[in-house]
Amino acid sequence: MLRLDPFKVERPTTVDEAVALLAAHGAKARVLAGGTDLLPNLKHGLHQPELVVSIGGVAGLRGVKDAGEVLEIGALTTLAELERHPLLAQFAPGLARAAAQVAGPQLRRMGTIGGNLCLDTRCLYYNQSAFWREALGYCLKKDGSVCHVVADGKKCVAAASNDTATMLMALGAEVELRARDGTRRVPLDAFYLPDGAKNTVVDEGELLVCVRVPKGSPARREGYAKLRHRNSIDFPLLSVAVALDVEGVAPGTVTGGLLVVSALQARPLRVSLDAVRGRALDDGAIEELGRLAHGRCHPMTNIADDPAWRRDMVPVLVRRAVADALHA
Amino acid sequence: MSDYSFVGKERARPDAGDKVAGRTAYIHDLTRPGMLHGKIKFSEHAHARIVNIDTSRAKRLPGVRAVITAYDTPEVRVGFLADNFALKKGKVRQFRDEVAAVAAIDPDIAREAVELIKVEYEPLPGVFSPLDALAPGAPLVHELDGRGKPRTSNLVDLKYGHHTGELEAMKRASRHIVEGSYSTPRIQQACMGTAGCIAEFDGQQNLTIYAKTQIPFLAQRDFTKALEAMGLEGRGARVVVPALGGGFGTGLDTHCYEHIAILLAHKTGLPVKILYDRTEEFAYLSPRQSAETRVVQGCDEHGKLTFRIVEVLQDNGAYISWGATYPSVMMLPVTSLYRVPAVSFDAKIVYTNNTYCQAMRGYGNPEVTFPIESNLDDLAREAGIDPLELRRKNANQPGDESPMKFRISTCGLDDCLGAVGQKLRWSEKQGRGRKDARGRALGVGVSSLVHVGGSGRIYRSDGSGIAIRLDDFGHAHVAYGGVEMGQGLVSSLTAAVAESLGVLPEQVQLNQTDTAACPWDVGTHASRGAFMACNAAIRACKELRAKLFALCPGVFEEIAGKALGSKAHGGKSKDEVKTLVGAPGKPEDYELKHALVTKRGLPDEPWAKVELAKVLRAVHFRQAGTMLSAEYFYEPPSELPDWEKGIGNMSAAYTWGAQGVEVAVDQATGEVEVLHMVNALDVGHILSPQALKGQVYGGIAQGLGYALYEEILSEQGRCLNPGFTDYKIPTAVEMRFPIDLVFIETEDPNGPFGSKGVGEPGLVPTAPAIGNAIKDALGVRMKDLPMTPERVSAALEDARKIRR
Repeated sequence: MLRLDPFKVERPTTVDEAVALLAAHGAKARVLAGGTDLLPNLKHGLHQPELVVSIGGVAGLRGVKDAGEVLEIGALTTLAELERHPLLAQFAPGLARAAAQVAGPQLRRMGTIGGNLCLDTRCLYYNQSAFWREALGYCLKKDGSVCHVVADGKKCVAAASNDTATMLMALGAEVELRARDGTRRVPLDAFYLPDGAKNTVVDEGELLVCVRVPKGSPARREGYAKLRHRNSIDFPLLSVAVALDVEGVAPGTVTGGLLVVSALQARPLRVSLDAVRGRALDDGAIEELGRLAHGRCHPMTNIADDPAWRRDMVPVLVRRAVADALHA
Repeated sequence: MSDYSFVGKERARPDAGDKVAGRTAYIHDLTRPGMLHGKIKFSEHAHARIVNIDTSRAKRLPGVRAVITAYDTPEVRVGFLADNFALKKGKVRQFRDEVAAVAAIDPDIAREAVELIKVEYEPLPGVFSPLDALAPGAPLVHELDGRGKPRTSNLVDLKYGHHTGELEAMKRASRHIVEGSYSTPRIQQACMGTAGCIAEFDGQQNLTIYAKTQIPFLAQRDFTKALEAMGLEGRGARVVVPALGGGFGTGLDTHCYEHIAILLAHKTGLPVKILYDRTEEFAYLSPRQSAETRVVQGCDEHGKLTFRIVEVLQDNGAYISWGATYPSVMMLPVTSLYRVPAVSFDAKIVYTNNTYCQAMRGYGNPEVTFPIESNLDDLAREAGIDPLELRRKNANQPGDESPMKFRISTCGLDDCLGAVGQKLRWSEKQGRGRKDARGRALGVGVSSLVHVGGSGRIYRSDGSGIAIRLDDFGHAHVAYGGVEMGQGLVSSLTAAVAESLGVLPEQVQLNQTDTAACPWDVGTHASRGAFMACNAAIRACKELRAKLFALCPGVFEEIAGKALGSKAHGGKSKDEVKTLVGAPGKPEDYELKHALVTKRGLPDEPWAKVELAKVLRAVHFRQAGTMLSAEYFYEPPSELPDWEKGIGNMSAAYTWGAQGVEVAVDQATGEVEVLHMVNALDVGHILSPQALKGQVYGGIAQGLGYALYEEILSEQGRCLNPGFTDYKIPTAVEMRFPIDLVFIETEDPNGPFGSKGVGEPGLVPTAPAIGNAIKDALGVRMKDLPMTPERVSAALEDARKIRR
């Protein structure tokens, strides 16, 4: 088995203790929740923390709460819990379905919503052993100055590969970040940065404590579609989430919502629904959405699969996501 | 025919409980007193000169006991062409190359020490495809051959071919001819248990190595040679095989890591363990060869095959292992799958700077069955004949002699094809342009297979020895040199010994495979384990029974008489007893079944059934006592083929089969889902139902991976997907389609209890059957494995362009 470098572990029991530890150790600390992303990455030498802050025992971070206009999802709520949570079934069914498509059953029992949102970006030239990366001369994201995906590239293009982020962004969710000196709420749209080296605004000393998902109107339909080779385990080759406000009799009229495409680069990509707003959500409208998304998506070789095929799949996935929203 | 007590009967595997409970000791679990942990420094280039290796910092690290390179250890050559070295000197030829190694008191220190070794290289241009490697002026992977002679090209000096029949005449006689080029990828064996070994020396400098091998005795020979190279002539090498977490061909050669463990153990005087992690297993253990294959086949107006041409270009990678000899098995389907009057086969094996390849289940057979069966399907369409019908028309028959001079004793191919057609509802489904409720295109496809079913002779000896010893309690201790690697050899061998000796399965105890305790065996490969072990066991048991029955006269009567005279039987008088039991008989009067000795002519009464253990103790604990054991060395009735001519009856029996599948293909994405599979296999006779089903299901899973998912991705010789995240094997979700198993029993005269080998066949026809089903569904021919959604989409796109 791949070996772990030594590190210290602290197990705080309150958020205050946790953020105090994070503040004290800054960039040398890493947060461990389910560990499904962090531990493999540590084994590959992608981070060398002095301290791992294991937050599994922090009280009050687990569970879904109905907070009026929004659902509050504690950062430690597992993906398996989200998959079949009655509040999600009622108010955010798309999120439950996206969570159900993360990895496999064992990983969903360990993996948390907070962890999935903070998932490190992935790239064929990054998620490799230390020796492998050393032999290649490292890369932009870690220890090097060359991008192996984009010739002469100056910005890391490692891909956001988290299924729930795509859906939550479409739903207009925001996250709550706690630090020693206060709390801030950041919409997911502002949470992700277009830089694969570090694609979130989480500062040193900050901890993601909860996700707030607007319940939306009864008119909201949510859909998620994921492209992958196998129907388990795999990270997305492409993912599309839609939140559609649809009113009137079928096929209904689009009154609002958002389409998000991810697994392309560091940041999920928002595609506005303006072009179909006020129109009937018929095949023509869905095709137009697909065309719009296709025009804006440019997959790269950060994932091993053929980028041309992945791009061709954008309209297909838009269609599937809409179908998922309308028929699920 | 089926009055067997144990053969063919449902019984849980003897090793299942321990495996499920985690009690089985794999190499990962083994430890030895004072044991050190070894770790290898691999190459950082696909092709480069080694300028300098600085080990000074590694040597100074506390806890490090040895650091070795090729420059400070004896030269140990590896591989049957001796073109590989345990540690590399001068240059590296692949990323797998072992440049240095350390032994330390724990795995973390060993890893840190390896990181401290700094190697200076001068990179060289490399060759990464067979075509590039054969181009004029291409860089040479090896400047010298194994004997030190200069080389002038990257073509490997191993010749395989076959040319029989009137090829040109048969071409002219053909009404339809179809040609195609196909490719199959490098794939990983993906054993659950990674590779590893422990090497140690005793005070007399004899070596013991616990090795994850399938060839303990050939490994013993290799290690003995290594000892000679180390100046330890005449010392012994003992190979002990721990429980294996899968083999799939990875254990058919000795590996550099094993030789490095030996060098480290000798240098330190302590046991040294080297264990690969999953990344090392993927990147530095050798995969299946990739091949590019051109096929031309023809048939007459009735669909009778007229000729077949197969040309293979094989990317061997940087060194020669047994895996380079895949063409020796490719010949088998090329010459003998269906009746083909004229056959031409050529294979080129080429050195490249890719990681060298080795054996994997099927050993060349899947690489050519995919092209042949895909091409045959197109030939049927070209001729306007139902693809299943064309196959049945050309099916081999018992009594045939194939162009390679295979003497086909039993052959259930036509029955297998018939069963597939019926269970798949072929005639209702084939060629109907059907769609499912989701709008996906539906199609059915079929492919046949032939494989060696009576071992495969590729060495001078293809033998297997067995030694069976009876203890005082009626247990049969079986020492067999073959390897249980998960396939279920223990099930078949237990049933065979119990059946042919006349004891109960729970009285059969199989020894650990150990060259010090077991008779010689060539190795567990070529689907030969059960065929060879059971054939040897039947013969050893026959000898054992003869020995036992020769001792029975007098002894039996005394024990039976004592029972009869006891109170339990009414305390009969001596005379009565004598009359009832009778005088000592002749050896042929006695019988042993279910561990009870009986005598002809006696009534079916408890007193007349003497426990085997009692007889054994009676003949042991007496004046001039004896114990019973028998040893048998079985050589199958087969011939070592002439490889350049491609002629010779390489196996004592041949296994035939067919798979049929129904698939649904999403035309928007190219995603293929298998909906249903029928697997029909001529197994000769079922030895152990559970082991058999396990072999077939496992083969299908591996075949599915080969067909749709698996490929070692590499860029300039560097493995891009060294882990299960990016190297995609089928998961349980992909395997949830129903599988109908049909077993045809043809009772082979050479098979133990009529059975034939079934270890490899499961995966051979899977990819072509799926490819043919995709063709039926979409009308496009997939020529490259794996048939990923992007490739299916591209094929659909190409077809649209042609139509436009």
